[in-house]
Amino acid sequence: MSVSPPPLPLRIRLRAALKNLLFIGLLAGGIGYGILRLWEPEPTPSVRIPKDDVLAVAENIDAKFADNWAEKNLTPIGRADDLTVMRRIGLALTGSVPSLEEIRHFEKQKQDKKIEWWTNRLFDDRRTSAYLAERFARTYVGVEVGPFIIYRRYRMVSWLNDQFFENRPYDQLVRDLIAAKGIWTTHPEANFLTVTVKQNDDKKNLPDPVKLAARTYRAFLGIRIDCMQCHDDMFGDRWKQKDFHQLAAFFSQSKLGMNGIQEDPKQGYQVRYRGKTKAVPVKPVVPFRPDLLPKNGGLRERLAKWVTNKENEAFSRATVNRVWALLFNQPLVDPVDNIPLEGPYPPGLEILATDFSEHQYDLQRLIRIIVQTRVFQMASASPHPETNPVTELHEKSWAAFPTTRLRPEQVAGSIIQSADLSPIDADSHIIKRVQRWFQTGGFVKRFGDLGEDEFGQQAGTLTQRLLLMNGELIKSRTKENPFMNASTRIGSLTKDHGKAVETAYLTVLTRRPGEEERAQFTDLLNEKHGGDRSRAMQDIYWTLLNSTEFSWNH
Amino acid sequence: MLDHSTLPPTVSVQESVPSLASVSPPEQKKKHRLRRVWRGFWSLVDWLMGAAVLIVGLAILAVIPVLNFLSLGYLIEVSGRIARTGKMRAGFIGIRKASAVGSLVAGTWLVLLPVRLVSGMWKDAELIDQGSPTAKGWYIFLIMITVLAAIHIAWAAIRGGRLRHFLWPAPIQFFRWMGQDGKFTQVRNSVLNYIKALGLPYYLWLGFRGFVGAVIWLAVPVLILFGGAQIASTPLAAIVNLIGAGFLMIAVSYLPFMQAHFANEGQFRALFQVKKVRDVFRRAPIAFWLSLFATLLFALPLYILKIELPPQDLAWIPSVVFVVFIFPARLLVGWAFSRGLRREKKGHWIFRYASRFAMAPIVGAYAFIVWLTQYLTFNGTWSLLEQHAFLVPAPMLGL
Repeated sequence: MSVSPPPLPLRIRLRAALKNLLFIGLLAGGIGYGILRLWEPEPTPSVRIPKDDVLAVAENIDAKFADNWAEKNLTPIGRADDLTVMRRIGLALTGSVPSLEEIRHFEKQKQDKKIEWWTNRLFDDRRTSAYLAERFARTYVGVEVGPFIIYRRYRMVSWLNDQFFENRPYDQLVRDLIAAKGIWTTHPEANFLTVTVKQNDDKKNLPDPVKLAARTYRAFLGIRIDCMQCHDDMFGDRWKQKDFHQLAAFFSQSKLGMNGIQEDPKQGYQVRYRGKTKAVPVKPVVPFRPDLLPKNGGLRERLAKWVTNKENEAFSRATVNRVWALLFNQPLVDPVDNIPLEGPYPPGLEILATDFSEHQYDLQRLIRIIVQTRVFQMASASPHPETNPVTELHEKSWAAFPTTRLRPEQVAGSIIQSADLSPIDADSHIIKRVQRWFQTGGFVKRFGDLGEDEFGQQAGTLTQRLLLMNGELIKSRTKENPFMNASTRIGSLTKDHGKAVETAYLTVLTRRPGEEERAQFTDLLNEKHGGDRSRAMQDIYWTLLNSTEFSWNH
Repeated sequence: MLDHSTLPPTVSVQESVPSLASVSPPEQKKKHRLRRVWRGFWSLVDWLMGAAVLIVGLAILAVIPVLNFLSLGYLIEVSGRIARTGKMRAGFIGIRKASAVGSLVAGTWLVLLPVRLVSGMWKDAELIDQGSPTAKGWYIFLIMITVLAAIHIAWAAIRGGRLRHFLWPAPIQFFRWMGQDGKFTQVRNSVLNYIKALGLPYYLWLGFRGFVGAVIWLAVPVLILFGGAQIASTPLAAIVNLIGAGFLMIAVSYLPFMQAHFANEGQFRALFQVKKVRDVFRRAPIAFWLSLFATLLFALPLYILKIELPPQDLAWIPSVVFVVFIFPARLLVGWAFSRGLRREKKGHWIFRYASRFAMAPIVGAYAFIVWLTQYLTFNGTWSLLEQHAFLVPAPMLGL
């Protein structure tokens, strides 16, 4: 007869239960975390339904362009395929082609939601804000190293990155830049002023009002009157020398003190105008719409409010033109920073500028509208070249998408991205990100940076072509490497030659091969196994990366 | 990782030692010596690995919100233990335990490498041709290798979690162990006992109190300096900054020793017993001067690394520099404090006053550099709040 042991006291049983719970919790947590790390779930980007008014504005712009084409008796080329539009957006917002993984997700979306899904996905991605920050920084502070210690470009770009990621209203951001005060590290926007400080000159480390006036005119008002620094406008009577210097006078009280950029009301601004013998004091006066200038506040604060005033249309137009240029790699009004104050304006500019100012200067909304327009989704090549060939007039009138060379960092970014089937983003392994950073920097240095001249179209050089054909970057990203390179992985993970060729095309050119292309490269893979097949895949990759199509935005 | 004493007898790993009876006396002596040398060598390797793991572990903890109190608590305890025992080696706390954790982490990482590779291959195969036989094959392989890796990691951890346990699965031993009763309780107890032995709540509480105390000490000077940075007028800002720097000089002359005294006493009020610390200083003035010099000097390299910020997931790398430099500084502070505690007589007045005078330029230079950092470091004026010589690399970031 068995005797059951007496039950344990409740306290001991509770303690044991607690111990078990703790242990199981630790174990489950550890295993769960491990599994999550290993089995990365598919990204689920936030999908926002496009607001009707975004599409309505895009349709309004389309109508304006349609009228313009009708006037010029132009037949628009027709819509580009979805993947081409996807590639354009990827290049404009992240500086690289989309990855195969992103293409697969894109293709799963409903037809009418694809573009919206892709833009939303990219707005949620730090790559976009980082890329936009660098592009806009070139406008604000150029690419120069700048004065020692008091100028921190990377700090400013990092700040801009945060502003764009949070989609801060653009007028607020610009006000911060123009009216910045404080130390350049604590207040990164102050670098807009400190970059102009000439150290060790007779101006006692003062920010340069002339440089600041030129930047303010060009970057925020879309007016290029740098020449008016020395003389009146020689090609018209709209701009006088005093227009330039009276705006420069708004920066004349800025100084560099113990606590960074400050205002000193005692400081003045004097200029010796052309043809005069004596320098005269210059009062701060805005070149147009003086009624919008606030009466009170510091000089730069007043200027900042005037520039970003809702009724100051030049500010909205300048921003729209710049964002348009970022998306098309070509501005609506060329040059990007020379927009006539009184018009005439190309179709769409006024609609976009008004919408931008009426919607709290929302940059993301502006980009959403532009990418939804028929103009942005237009093909660059005609499907019927015999009856409707693409002419220069087509491109100038936006009846065909203008083909432009990729920027150096876009070429580098696209080469590096096409060597990976998943996106190289903030979630990628740190080694991949560091490698991308070094490889992009090295490539751009050799390829030649465009510098501050963002949209100046330059012809390709022999050195650039050689760099693409024999350079280290393409060599290292196409050679046999099952860990790092997509060409090797594609070769080893599918025995279907057609599938391998198609994957290579999608990853490098963001499109599927045509029948002829498929047949040609499939032949190359036929009868090849193991190392020979891998080498053939390398050749295909190398060929695609060196194709003209790869190096162009089309 | 686990405590061998809590494991069942069949699981404990026995060293393979030849029978002593079969070896003659001179040979026996030689064998003994060789074995000692061999063991000593591995003990040294184990210790060095533990030290490296400890440094990296403290560095990682230092950048994680709330857990950074653990890191600070450990560093304060280092000074306290030396002050209490008078032995420098007492400051190397938990090196062997850290080595065990390091082995476990390194082993797990090694075992997971092939799993990660297979996971990547499966994902890419799916991307290339979704649902293809190749993708399915990789998927099945991934499940198999994940299960095997999980079992292997668990079994290696149960056996002790040393690197050798990850390299050889010991299958016979595994099946024997599987047949035993009470496995769950044994494993559970050994894991929980190990965690308990780490004394995490103790270090967390110590770090938190040490942090609060340091903040009280530094609040006035740092806030004055911070306020000075907001003043537009240069002359006024200069005066305010000078006042702030003066207060900072006083605070940093005392704070390292107040923290050591606090760790020694274990009571929060010890952080403010200035008279007691001054008394200890009088007994070892040169040692105090030396340790203060080291503490402030070793705080400087991290300021250089704060000029640009690394990506978030690499934030622990500057933190390693912080631990590498601050750890010896804490050892020295503990050593100086223990000297003061153990001496009965005051130092000669010449040494006392010479040390006091010699402190002035050091703390003055330190206050100047701290003030200067707002112009150089990535976070500007906010970096004034990151007094890593007495706190953790970025206390505000951590909170």
